[in-house]
Amino acid sequence: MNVSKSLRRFWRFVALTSVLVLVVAACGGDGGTTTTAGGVTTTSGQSGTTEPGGTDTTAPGGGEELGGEVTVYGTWGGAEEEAFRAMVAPFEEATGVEVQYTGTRDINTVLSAGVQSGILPDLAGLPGPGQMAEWAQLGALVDLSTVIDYDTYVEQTSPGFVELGTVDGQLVGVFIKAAVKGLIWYNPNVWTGGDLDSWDDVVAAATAHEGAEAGWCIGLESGAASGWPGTDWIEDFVIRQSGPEVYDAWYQGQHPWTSPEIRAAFEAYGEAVANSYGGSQYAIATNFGDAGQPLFTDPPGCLFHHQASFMAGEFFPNYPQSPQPGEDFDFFVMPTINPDFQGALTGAGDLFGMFNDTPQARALMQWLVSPEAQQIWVDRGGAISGNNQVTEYPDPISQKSAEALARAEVFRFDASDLMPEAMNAAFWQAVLDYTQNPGQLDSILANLDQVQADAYGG
Amino acid sequence: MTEQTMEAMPPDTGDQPDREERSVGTAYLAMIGFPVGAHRWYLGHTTAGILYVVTFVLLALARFAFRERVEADFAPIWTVAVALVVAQLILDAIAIPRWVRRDPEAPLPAPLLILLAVLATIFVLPLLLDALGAVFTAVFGRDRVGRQVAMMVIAILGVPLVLWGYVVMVEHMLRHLTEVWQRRVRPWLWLAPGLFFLYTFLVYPTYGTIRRSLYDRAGDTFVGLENYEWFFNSPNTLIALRNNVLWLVFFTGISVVVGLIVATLFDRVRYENFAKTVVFVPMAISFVAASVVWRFMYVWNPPNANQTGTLNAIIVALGGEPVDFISTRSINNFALIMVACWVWVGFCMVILSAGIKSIDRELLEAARVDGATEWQVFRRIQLPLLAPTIAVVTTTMLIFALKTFDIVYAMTNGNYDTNVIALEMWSQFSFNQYGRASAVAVVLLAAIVPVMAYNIRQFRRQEEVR
Repeated sequence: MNVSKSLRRFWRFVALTSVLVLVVAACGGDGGTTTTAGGVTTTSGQSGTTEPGGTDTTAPGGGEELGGEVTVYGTWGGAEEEAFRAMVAPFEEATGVEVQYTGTRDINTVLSAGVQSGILPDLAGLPGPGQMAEWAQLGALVDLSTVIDYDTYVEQTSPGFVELGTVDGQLVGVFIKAAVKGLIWYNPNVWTGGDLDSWDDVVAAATAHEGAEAGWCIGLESGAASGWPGTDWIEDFVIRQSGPEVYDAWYQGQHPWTSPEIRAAFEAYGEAVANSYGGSQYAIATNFGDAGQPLFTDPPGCLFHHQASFMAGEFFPNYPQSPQPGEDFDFFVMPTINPDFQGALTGAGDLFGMFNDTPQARALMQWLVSPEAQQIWVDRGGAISGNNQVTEYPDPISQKSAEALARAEVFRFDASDLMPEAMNAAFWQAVLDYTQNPGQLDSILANLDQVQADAYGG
Repeated sequence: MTEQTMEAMPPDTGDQPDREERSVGTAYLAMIGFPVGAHRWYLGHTTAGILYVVTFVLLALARFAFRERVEADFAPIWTVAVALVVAQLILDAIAIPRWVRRDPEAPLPAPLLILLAVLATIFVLPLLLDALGAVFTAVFGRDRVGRQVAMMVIAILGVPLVLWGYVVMVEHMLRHLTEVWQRRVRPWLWLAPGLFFLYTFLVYPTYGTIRRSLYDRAGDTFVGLENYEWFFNSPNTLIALRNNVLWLVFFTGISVVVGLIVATLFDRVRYENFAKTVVFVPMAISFVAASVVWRFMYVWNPPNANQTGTLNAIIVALGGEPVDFISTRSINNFALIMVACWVWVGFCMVILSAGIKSIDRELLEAARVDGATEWQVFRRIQLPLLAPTIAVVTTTMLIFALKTFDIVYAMTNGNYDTNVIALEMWSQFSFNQYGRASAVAVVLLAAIVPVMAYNIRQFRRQEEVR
C-alpha cells in the first residue's frame, strides 16, 4: 500500500466524516420538526397594524371567514369546560376557526415550562395576577390593548379588574368570568333569620346555632391546593377588619404576618373552626365542594357555610339532597366588620391572556370579552360575567351575586392568588397547620414571615 | 390584519401573516440548492445533480402546496438543508476533484447516493407528515388525531430508515480506510448516535443542573453553595429529608421482607401461580391511581357519621374511634409508605421467587435428609444463597424510596409533614426557584449514585455467578 493511496483514503475519510458530523448536528437541531400547535409561530408581519374591530361584536370575529385554528389552555373541566365550548361555538361557526381547547389542573406548571421553552398555546387562562405579572415582565404576553377595543373594554369592566390585568401600563390579562367571595350560604328552612347585615349578629347566630349541630361548615381539602378555602376566610377578615390598605400591603409582601392585623384574622377564622361541624378534623378531611352538605341533612349539621359564588352553579345542585336555589339555599354577603371599611368585598376571576399574536387568536379574544359571549356562559348558571353589560342572570342567586359585585364599594382580588407562588403555597399549608393546631399560631406566623422575606425577592 | 392585505391575498386560504416570509425562505433555499445541484451535474454526476435539483424544487413546491398547514415548523428543515449545502461544498472542494481526476466518467459514489437518500428522507419526512396529516384530516374531519396517527406512522417507519441509512453509510465510508483504522473507528461510529443521545439527554442536563444549582433564582448571578445552604437549613427540606429516611428504612424494609416471606411461602404451595398473581396485580396500577384508591381506603368521617373509608369502617365496627390517616402526624407517613409497599411487594416477590427457584433442590433435600428443620433450611441454606438477589432487590427499592414523588404529591402534596425530597424539588420548580430546585436535584442525585453503583456491581456479580 503506497503512501499516496492511504493519504487519499485518509482524505476521503475526513471528508465523509465531516459530512456525517454536519448531518448529525443538523438532525440534533431537528427534534422539533413537528412542534405542537402554536409552537414557535411568532409573527412579525403584523406589527403596527391594529385591528379596528371590536366595535361590531354582534357577529363573532366581525363576521370574517378566517379558517385555521387557535389553541387555548385553561383550568376548566367538566361543566365549566362545556360552558366554555358553548361560549366559543358561535365564534367557530361564524369564522370557521377551530378552537382547540385543552383543560389542565396543572396550568401553572404547563405555562411556566412553556414560557421557558417557547411552546405555548395562543390563548390561555392564567393562574393568577401574580404569575401573570412575572410572565408579562418576561415579555411572554401580548399587549391586549392592540387586540381588543381598549376603550370599550374599560367602559364595560370594573376598574379593579382592568387594573389587575395591567402590568407596566400594558393590558395583558382580561377577565371573562368572575366570582364573588365571602358569601355566607344558608338553608332558609333552617336559618329563618334571613340576611344579616352585622357581623356581630352572624357570630351570635353561629354561636347559638339553633336547630343545627354547629355554627359553620368548613372543608379545606382540595387535592394539591388543599387549604385555599381557609385563605379565603382569612382574606375576608383582613379586608373587613383592617381595610384595603393593610390588605394591599399584605399581599405585596410589605405587611408582616406576625402583625396584630393578620393575627386577628387568623384568630377570627380559628373561632369559626372551633364552632364548626365535625371540628377541625372534619375541616381538614372534607373536600371544599362537599363541605356544605350538612346544611341540608336532617338533622342539619351547620347553620352557615362560607364560600364563593360558584357553589350555586357547580356544587349545591349536585348534592344528593338536590337543593333548589332560593328555596333550599340562599346567601348574604359577609357583613362589614369595621365600619371604616364599609362594603368591602373580595373576589376572583378567570384571567385570560394571549401568548401568540395570530389573527385567529385576536378574533377569539375579541369575541371572549364581548357581552354576547359572556352571556352564554352566564346563562348556564353559577357564573358572573366580568362585563357589566351582562345583566340578565338565569336565577335569583346568580343575579344577587352579580348585584353584590356591582354594589361593592371596595373590591379586592383574592390575596393569595396575588402572592408569589411560594407565599401562596405556604399560606395554604399554614391554614391547614393552624386548623389542626390552633395553639401553634405563633410559630406558624413566624414561619410565614420567613417565607415572605424570601419569596418576594424576584 | 389591514383590509389591504386581506384583499391582496386569496380570500379562502385563511392566511397566516408569517407564511409569506417562510415561503420566501424556502425560495432562497431553492436558489442556493439549485446551483449546487447544477454544479454537480456539470461535473458529470448526472444522477446526483438531478436528485439535488428535484429535491429542492419538490421542497419548494411542497412548501407552497401545504402552506395552509403552518403548524409544522420548517426552520429545522432549513438547518438540515443548509448543512447539506455546506457538506456538498466541502465534498466538492476536497473529495470530488480527486475522484474526477481519477475517472471523470465514474458514476456517483455510493456513499453520496445514500447520503442523499438519508437527507431526502429527512427533508421529505415533515412534508410527508403534512401530507398525511391533510389526508387524515380529510378522512377524520377537523381533528388532531389524524396528524398524530400520521406522526406515529412516520416515527415507526422513518426512524429505523434513517438509522439504517446511517449504518450503511458508515460502512461505505469505512471501506476507504485501512483495516487497522477500520477496527479502531468502527465502534465509535456505530456508537455515535447513541452517544449523541446520551450526551443530549443525560450528560448535558446533569451538567446543566449542577451548574444551575450554583446560580441564583434568575440564573445570572453566581451564588456558590447558597442554594445548598438553604437546603440544609430550611425546616421544610429537613422534614423532607427525615421523611426520606423513613421511606428508606420502612418502604425498603417492609417491601423486601414481605416480598421474601411471600416468595418463600408460596414456593411451597400448590396454588403458587395464582397467589403470586394476586400479590403482583397492584404492580400494574400507576402510583397516582393507587393513591386515589388508597385515599378512599383512608377516608375519615366524623365519629357519629357513616364511615365511608374502608379502614375506618373496620375500626369503628370493632368499636374504635375513626382515625384520619392522612393528617395525623404520627401515622400519615406510614400510611403513605403502605401504599407504596402495596404496589411494590409484588415486584420484590417476583425477583426473589426467581432467586429461590434457581437454588438447587438437591441442596435442600440433602439438608432435610441430614435432619435440618425447615427454619434451618431457610436460615442456613436458602438465605445465604439468596443474598446477592436480596441485595439487588434492596438497592432497587432504596432508589425508589429516594425518588418517591407521585404518592406524596397525589395524597397530601407534602402537607402535614409528609414532604419528601423529590416533591420539594418539584415545589421549588413551581415557585420559579430554579436554583434551589436544581440544588435539591443534585442532592437527590448524590444520594442515589452510590446506591446505584452498588446495585449495578451487585447485579453484575450475580450475573457472573449464573
